[in-house]
Amino acid sequence: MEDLDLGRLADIPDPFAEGSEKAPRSLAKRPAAPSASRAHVRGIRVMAIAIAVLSEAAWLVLVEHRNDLGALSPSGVLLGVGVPFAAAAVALAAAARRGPLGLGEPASRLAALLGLSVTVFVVGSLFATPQEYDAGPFWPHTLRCMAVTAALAAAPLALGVWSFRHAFVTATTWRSTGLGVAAGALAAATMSLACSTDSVLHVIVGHGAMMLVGGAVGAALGRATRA
Amino acid sequence: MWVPIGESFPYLAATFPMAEPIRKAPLRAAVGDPPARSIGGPSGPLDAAMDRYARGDDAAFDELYRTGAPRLRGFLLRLCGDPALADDLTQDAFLRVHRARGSFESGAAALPWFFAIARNAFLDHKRREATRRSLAGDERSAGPGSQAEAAPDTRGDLALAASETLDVVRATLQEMTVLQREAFVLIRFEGLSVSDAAQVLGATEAAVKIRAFRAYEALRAALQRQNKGER
Repeated sequence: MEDLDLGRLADIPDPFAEGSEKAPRSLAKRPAAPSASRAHVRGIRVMAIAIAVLSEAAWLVLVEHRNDLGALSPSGVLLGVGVPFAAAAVALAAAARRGPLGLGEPASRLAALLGLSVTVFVVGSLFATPQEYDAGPFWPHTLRCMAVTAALAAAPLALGVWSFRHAFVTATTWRSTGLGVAAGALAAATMSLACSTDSVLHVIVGHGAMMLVGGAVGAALGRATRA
Repeated sequence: MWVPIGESFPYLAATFPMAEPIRKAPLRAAVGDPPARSIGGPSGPLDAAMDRYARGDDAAFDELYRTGAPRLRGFLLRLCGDPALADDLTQDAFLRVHRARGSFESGAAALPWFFAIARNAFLDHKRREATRRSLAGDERSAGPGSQAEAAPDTRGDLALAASETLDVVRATLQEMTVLQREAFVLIRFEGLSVSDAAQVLGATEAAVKIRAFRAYEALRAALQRQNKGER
């Protein structure tokens, strides 16, 4: 390929120059249903985040929380919750960032940010979780935790897709993947207060795998978030 | 090796003075027709109307359609090559704008946002068409330029050759991949910078630049073939 001097593009005449910008016909159907204004959309998103966090808290209060919660050091609890929360924040910020023109980040940067989110969780868990070997059977307990994490991620993901419906104009699949990763990470944060197994492998696989599954589900729901 | 357009396509240079290459000139100045079409800043009428509409002022929709629809139709026409379809897609795009108005960022430029939404409408149409054709078992591709906008009235050999050139460009645009076409259309015909086009397409600048240049190479090769055929 010759050097990419895009000034040469001017060689090509515009076959649609004649009448390309003539006024199109009037709208066949006017927008019938009212759509949400900017303030309304912001309110919906704040409400969605609040409901998502409250639903996680409700699970801890009403369904289960770890028995040794009172015996844990405050810094240990903060770290256990903080690492997945940070991963969720990175993923959510990636999905919701406005970008230079208000169109969001390009797909390559979104992929990098979502990779960073997962890395934050894995590396943070390595440091935040005691490096002890879980003496019990690994898979039965881990599979149960994966199922619980999936249940915990469902509501935040549904709220995320709902509050961002018709919102993403570019890189839609990657941005809705970000919503799914954020929902999975939020569920992992809740699990750090619900599951008393501190094995690092259990935390990464049993609690963190839902970030990947959530991301895949988010990607599959991308059409709903596309403008 | 690049040959100045006046040497390769003499009738083209005579008929389309704007098609003269501007070597090493800044991209905006080089490819804009008219040069350096702005994508609009926060002070443009389209941006102001969109901002009002996003804030909930329903009355701004008419102004938005009046000021934005012609530009959007031009973009869609160049993408799809069919005036009737471009009209339909423009309407679809504006319904999407209405649906998504609350997500329009404060202080953002409206035109790139419109272009991105129009592109989504076009891609959805392409997917629906592909699905419909595959369900119908019709493997024929849609003929490029089958319902193309009528060429301007032509007189004389020069004008006839120019008209044929435009037909070649139109047909080649429809034959290339959508990725190449949309990058080329945004940069060459809509006058966006590579950076702005990359934002609209959600891709990196390098990727968009390569796509646009490949489209240019395909178009130039088609024009050279046509030129040889005439000699």
